[in-house]
Amino acid sequence: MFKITDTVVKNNSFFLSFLTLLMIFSFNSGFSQEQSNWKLPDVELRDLKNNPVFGSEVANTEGPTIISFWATWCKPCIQELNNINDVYFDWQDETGVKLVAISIDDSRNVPKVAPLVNGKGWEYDVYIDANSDFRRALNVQTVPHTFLLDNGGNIVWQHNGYTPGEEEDLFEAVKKVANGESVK
Amino acid sequence: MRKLLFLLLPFLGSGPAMAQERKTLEIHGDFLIDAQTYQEDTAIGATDIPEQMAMNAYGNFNFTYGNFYGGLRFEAFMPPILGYDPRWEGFGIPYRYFGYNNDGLDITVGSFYEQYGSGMVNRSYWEWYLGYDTFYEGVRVRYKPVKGLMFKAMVGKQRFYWDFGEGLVRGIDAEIDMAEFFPGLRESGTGLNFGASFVSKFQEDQNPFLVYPENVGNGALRGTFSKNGFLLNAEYAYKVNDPSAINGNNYRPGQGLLVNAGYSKRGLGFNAGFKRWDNMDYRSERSATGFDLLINYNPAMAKQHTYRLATMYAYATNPNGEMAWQADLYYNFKRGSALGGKYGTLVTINWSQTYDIVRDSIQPPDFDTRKFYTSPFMQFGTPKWFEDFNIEINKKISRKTRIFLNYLYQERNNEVQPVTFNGTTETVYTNIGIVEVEYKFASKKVLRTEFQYLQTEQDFGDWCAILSEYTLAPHWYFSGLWEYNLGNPDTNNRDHYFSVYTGYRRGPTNIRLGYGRQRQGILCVGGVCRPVPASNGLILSIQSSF
Repeated sequence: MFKITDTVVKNNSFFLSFLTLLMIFSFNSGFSQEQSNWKLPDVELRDLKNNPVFGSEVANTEGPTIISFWATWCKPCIQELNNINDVYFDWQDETGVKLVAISIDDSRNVPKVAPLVNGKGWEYDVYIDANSDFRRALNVQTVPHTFLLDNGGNIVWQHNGYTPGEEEDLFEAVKKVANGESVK
Repeated sequence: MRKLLFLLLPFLGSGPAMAQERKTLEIHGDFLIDAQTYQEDTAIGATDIPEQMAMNAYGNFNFTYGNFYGGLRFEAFMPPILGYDPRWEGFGIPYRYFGYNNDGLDITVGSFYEQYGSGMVNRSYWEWYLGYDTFYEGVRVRYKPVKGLMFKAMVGKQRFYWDFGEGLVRGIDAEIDMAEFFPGLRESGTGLNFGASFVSKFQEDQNPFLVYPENVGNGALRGTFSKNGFLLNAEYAYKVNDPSAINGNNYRPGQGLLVNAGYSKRGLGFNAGFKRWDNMDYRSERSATGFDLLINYNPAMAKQHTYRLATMYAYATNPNGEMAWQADLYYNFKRGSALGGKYGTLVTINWSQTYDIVRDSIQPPDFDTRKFYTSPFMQFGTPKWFEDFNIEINKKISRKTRIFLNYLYQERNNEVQPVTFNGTTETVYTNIGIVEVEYKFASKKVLRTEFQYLQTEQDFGDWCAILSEYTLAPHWYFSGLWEYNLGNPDTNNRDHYFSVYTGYRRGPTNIRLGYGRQRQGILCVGGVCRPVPASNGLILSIQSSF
């Protein structure tokens, strides 16, 4: 077993050196920490009618975007989306924010997504990431996990987990982003 | 030379043609560490381990630079946490990939995950908490020539712990969205798409007694129709003869059908599903069992529960045969109505049954064709593998209080994938009641308590549990869990299980520290279950992403 492990490590030494090089180059080429240029990955998602939609197409073009990863079996996720839904129109009025809910339910639970979303009367754009491709590309480990994108579609803030009341912190960040302020 | 090329790579895309948008290298990733100490605790059957502490950990790094992307994952099981397959022991970088995505063409070399349709013929995925990872190592191409048309193709070998499976897997998939080509459909609000996929695996035949098919094909057709809140989705798959360890070298072809129909509008959602699964287990090595080298996915037709006692007798899919149906209803009683009260009431009902398929055995057994049975396509067989009826009422009582009331009835057959504590194959019949109360002291101080009771005449009898969690948002949380096997027929084994946790969350970081006794149980994710042995000790988990 260890012999196999050793080969795997050896095979990867070139990948490691490559990454290191990339990192060095990134700093040389003036990679700046201040201004995020981190976009949503161009990964295939599904809308509630099972049509493909790409990650690069889902962000708001005229204001901030909240990307909320959730699942039908995740209670805190549903609670967060419920609580935001109650104030969603006010948030939209004030900041022009759009919430995009990404369900990581796999094909066992995908059929339950649309009935649940409509049953709850959520007003969000909902997409399904049935094999977690989008989730992996954004390094989301557990749900709920929330990202905030600025008006240019750059990811500027993220947060894992939810307890009631935390949506107020999220909204504070949304307001800052809508005004072009930093949320670091 | 290879290194030199990559050295130049960051400059290749930075010519004048690309100058309008500033390209930056984005490196992101995540870490996860789970560590646990083990103490002997003979009362509950918990053992210690020679290393005293076990740890599972990984770190992911992804980068993107213009149209290029890539990444790797380091993993360490030093040693694996008890309950994970011991073959995970070790460390290394099994997962690494590079890709290029431009103008509808996406090429990945190295490690990748793939799913066609609902996964009936092809789904490789990663579920860390189950120790399940079946990524392909090879090449994948996805091409979208025009909007509404998509082609995918791949060749690869599957991950097998720290090695790769022997079998070679090849797959193609095509999908068309009719509304993009027939504007009339779009104007009438009708959605219609079709897909087709074909997967073939190759493994050399070295069996001296049987003639194994070296190439085994598995194809599927699927479609989705939607209009005015109505949605119909179906997929049918057919697999040629595929003798294996799982099906006892049966040469009968496999067939699968998955149909879901739903209707939803504001305040109401409904879905009904049907599944037939006949000899559809499909792996890249004939001898593989358990979670190993699965090419396709068999989705359980049952609700995925999260309450502690509701998962005690959870369903695990039966790879050789299932006939199942399921129905879900979501209904929201409006605020102001008699049942809705001041804030509205949400009712969720789910009911599912899974049976075996009917098998009419071929008598006398035909050892030339080795097709051991015939089966009528639309008949439910015996035994019943699983039944689950559950209802949840979710109601906000006041500005500060919300309650969830749950009742569940479950029947769990234990002939094939037993989950009983006493190891018997008897069917377990359970009634479960759960009351959850959430109370908000102040805007960010929340106390949540679950009272759970499981009643059964079988196995270890009745259980009760109380889980309480106090959260001081945004950073701290404290929780305690008490489980008590009050109905154990052996009065000396009426054990108590206590555990306490505290956690700190900040942005994408979550640190959790816990101590206590954990009962033996089953951890299920997406219909795949892993036994978790009883343990006593300290638990530390750290996760973060950037």
